[in-house]
Amino acid sequence: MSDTLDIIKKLAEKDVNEYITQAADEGRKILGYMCSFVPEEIIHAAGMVPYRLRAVGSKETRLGDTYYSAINCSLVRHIFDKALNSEFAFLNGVVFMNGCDHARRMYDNWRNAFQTQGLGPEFLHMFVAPHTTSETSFQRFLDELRDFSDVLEKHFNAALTTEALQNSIAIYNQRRELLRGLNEMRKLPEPPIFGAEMLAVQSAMTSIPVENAVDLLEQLTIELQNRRIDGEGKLRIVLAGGAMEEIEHIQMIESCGAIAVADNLCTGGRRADVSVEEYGDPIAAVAKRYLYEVSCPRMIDEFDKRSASLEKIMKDYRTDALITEKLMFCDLWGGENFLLKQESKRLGFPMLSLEREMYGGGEGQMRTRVQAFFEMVRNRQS
Amino acid sequence: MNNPSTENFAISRAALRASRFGAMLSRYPRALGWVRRLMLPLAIQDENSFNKHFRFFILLAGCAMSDPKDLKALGILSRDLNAYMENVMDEASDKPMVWSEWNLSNEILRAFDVRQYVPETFAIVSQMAGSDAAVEMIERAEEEGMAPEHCSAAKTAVGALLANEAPKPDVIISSSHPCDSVASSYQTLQYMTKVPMFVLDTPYWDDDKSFKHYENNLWDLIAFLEKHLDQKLDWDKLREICANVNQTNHYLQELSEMSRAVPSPTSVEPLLLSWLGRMAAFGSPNGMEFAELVHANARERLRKKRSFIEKEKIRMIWYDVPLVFAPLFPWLEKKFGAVVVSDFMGRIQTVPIDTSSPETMVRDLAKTHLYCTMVRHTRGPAEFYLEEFKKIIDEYSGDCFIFMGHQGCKGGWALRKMFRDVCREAGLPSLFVSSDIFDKRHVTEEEVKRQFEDFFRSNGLA
Ligand code: SF4
Ligand code: SF4
Repeated sequence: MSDTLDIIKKLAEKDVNEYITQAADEGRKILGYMCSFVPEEIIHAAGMVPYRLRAVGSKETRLGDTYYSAINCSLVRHIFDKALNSEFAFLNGVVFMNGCDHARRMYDNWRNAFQTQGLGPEFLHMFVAPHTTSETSFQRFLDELRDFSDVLEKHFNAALTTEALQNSIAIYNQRRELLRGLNEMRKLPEPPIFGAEMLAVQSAMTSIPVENAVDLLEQLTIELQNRRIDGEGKLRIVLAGGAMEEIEHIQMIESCGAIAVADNLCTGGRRADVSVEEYGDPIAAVAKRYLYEVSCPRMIDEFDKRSASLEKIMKDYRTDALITEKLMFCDLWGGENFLLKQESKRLGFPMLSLEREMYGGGEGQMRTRVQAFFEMVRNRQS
Repeated sequence: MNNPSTENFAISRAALRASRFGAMLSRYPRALGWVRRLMLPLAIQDENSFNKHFRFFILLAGCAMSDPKDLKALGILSRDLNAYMENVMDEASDKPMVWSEWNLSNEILRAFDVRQYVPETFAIVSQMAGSDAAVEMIERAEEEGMAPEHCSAAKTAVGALLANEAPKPDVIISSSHPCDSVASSYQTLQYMTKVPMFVLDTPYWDDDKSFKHYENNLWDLIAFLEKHLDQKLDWDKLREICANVNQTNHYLQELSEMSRAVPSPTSVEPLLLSWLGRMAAFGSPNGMEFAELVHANARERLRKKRSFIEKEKIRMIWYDVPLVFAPLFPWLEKKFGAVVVSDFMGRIQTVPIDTSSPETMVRDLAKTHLYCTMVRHTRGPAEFYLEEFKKIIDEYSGDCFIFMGHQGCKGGWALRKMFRDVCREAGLPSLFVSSDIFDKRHVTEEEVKRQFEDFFRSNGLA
């Protein structure tokens, strides 16, 4: 048993947690953000707490649907519904990103709700990241990071110094190193943690101050040293996909006879353990890490790299199969699924594609599909 | 996956025949006017297995474009369309084949000695041929595992490749605009063809830094093409093309503005035609001549205070793509006297290109590309749509707004409340139709027509 894991799981289940409340009480500003390309280090270096927006706890999208249509992503509709319900009232600002067509429109819709309904906060910023990794894009991204730093300094009257950024990079790297350590343990034949639990860890870590995250991860690392899950007869799987925060969904998959030992999910472990270089110009180091390492299907010129990275994960973690997770109407992951399917044929790994609405039910049907898939994988192995 | 190695172009050949026939008829615009009168009843019927073969003819000649002078203009444009299709199918050619995404402006590409193919326009070509091949291609792509939510244009592009209706590319050019669907589907096309691909990174904002970034992308594109085509860009040719583009844009921009007059001397059709013609005729002498002629014809009507359609009763402002699997515009014109006075696809709003040096050309091309249809509105914040929309409402005396919500355009659907609010504030009745430009499985022609009838009646417009 791990006490820390229990604490973390509870953190993952709710929006507002004691760490965030405490940080706010201490006068730290909380800045919500939407996507893995938003550099947490810069927000932190400006003295604030970056907080990843999640749909957790959302029961419906009634209000969100007054803005979005039924063919928009359910994650976005849930999050915006919560915003309209004032469930993010504790935020001092929100940073949006041009991640996908659904998410980037939240910048527009939130501003409209701010103007027409007084929905706070006032600071609503669009952070723009390129969709390619060329040198031209790198220079543009570097510029965007500098502009972002300036905007934060001005709006929040913060002093974002080089030293502060270096310190922020260091502490975020500490968090990454600890996650790397946990991931190493997941390579063991008897990993210490289920995939569902690891997703809770990864989700929770983006919704508390990094200092608390480091403390909790250090504690968790110690507690997991002697924890082992009996892997006997269980398949080892890797998950890939967009936003995923339904812990119970992964539990369902694992209960069908598997352990998710690795993932490449937006809200999970995608490159979450890749550090920022701690030498040279810190802004350039941040730019490099975020532009070159956080690849997802929005990056148009990098599928080969993503595929190679997934292949390496499958090898390193000795996985038996891949399950992709996609939310309905997500074009980007729709396209990626198609390509991964081709890769699964080329490289000969079994793959199952699941599609769902966030918190949308339909578990029974999915369970049947997962069971049939695992059956097929086992038959193939024997 | 079927990795195509041969090309058969069955559908493109049929489209070429239809287009050549149209071009031939357009040489006799008066006779064509009579044919059109005889065929008029077909224009307002629902499409059936007989009249679908005349879909393209009905769409063009059945609508207000049937003014003999406009039909002549159509004949000019079809010269380039025919040449484009012939080029696509010219398997013996030793010129490199470049695939270029449908929202890219191809002046730079034209300044190289290449053949070009715009994958998404296969769907348009198949509509021209009077076939249902677009739906077949969509099904083909979906069967292969392509995501159903992708834009049907993107699915037809992949389907066409699977069905050997696409030429083999040497390089591909794409971009991150106008939507996720395009960004995603080009990764698929590149994966399937395994040729080098260049992706232009589209900026979000409209500020100097954004334009500069896109300009830098264009320089990268030139370097990429020079390397992979083993050719040098012909700057004189580019200068000529840009000069033609300037003239063409000037005419089309004025044409867009002319429909502010009541009654409107023009409509969406010539603008949509020039949008279709972009793949073949943008920056070409024929493209320019087409624009000049439709402009002159509209100007003449404006001078005489003559309307484009017979009896203008309803002035529509149109959002997003039209339906192209059925000739909806002739039906709207004939049945309700409804004319599109402004739309977001055909409407030209751009800046001239300074042709004095390579640097000025590339700098201004960056701007004109970012002001292109779809790109201008989709890539940035809501204001990119809404400010232009408010201006259109102020200036075009519209009676209603039609949000033709294409399934692929998720970014547009995410703004529907804001469009609704603008309409409410302006007291403009609005119709939101869930539709699909090419995929008639999503919504049938009858269903769309029923929605229009109900809408016009309930708002006292018909
Ligand atoms: S799941 Fe897909 S559609 Fe939804 S926010 Fe993420 S990338 Fe966008
Ligand atoms: S029609 Fe819409 S979905 Fe299709 S390419 Fe254009 S913007 Fe994208």
